Amino acid sequence: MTERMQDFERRSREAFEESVASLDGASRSRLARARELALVEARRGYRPQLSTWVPVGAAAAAAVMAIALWNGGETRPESTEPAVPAFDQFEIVAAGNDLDMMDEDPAFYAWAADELAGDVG
Amino acid sequence: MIGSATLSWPTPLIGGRVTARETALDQERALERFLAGIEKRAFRIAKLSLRDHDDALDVVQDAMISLARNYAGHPEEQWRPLFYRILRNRITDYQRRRRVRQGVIAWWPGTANDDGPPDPVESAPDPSGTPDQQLEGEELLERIGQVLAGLSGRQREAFMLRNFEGLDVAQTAIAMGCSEGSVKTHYFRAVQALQQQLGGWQS
Repeated sequence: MTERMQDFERRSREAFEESVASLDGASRSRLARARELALVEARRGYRPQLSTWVPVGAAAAAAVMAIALWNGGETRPESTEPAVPAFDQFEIVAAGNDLDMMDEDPAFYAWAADELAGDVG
Repeated sequence: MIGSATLSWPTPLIGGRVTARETALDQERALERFLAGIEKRAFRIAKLSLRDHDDALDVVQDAMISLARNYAGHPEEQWRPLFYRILRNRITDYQRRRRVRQGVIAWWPGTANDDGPPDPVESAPDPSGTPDQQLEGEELLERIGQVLAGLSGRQREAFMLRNFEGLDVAQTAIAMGCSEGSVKTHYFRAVQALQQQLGGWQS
């Protein structure tokens, strides 16, 4: 490189630096927006584990749901306990207070039962 | 994907453990610093190559996004040559597309000069910066750009990457996808041609 060429290099570099420093606001703003877009793109790339496991998790959840629905449709094995109609079970629960009252006043209920028997007879 | 760099990232150890989230944040901050430091220079280089303001902004944006998408996980010292290689490819694509478009426009009747009068807002002087300084920088760079346009693509790239962007020979070779010897040859010829053609500008 001759001295003249080196001088040319220096001066052209200075001109370039000057043009970079004096870049207008609209272009700077547009470049800042472009940078933001690039960072958004990079953020997507930073979560490879999440993006990998999301479809796996979704598939697993779907499989569990399918198994649960499949089993729910099948008849259950017969219980060893005597079958009690659902309506009777409800009545027993609802009549819980009455049973308590019998404990409190058994003589009254015995009399009432006799009276009813007498009416029928 | 460009180059054969391995996928590794320097993981700072804080108390022997560092979460993936912290690493990602560090990486993102480093990338933001890098892009903020390079974007204006890249735009000027793209504009010198394409001679069009909007196209230059577009190619820089494309290059930034491509770098972030494909190479954010690469070591930071690889980003610059990779970025300029992407930018170079984008510029080449734009130039190719432009040649095709101009060919079609020239062929299509009645469309050669349909741009209409210049937009007064676009052609108004920019209020930013010191007008004299800006004019001088713009004017000088414009003259360099005119001469650069007459050089071969390789010579132009070598000159801009070495002299304007400050890449060393090895980094320029990566960015241009050629040997270091070729970079030296192209660069020398570019400086020689520019210096001869812009001799009067120096005095």
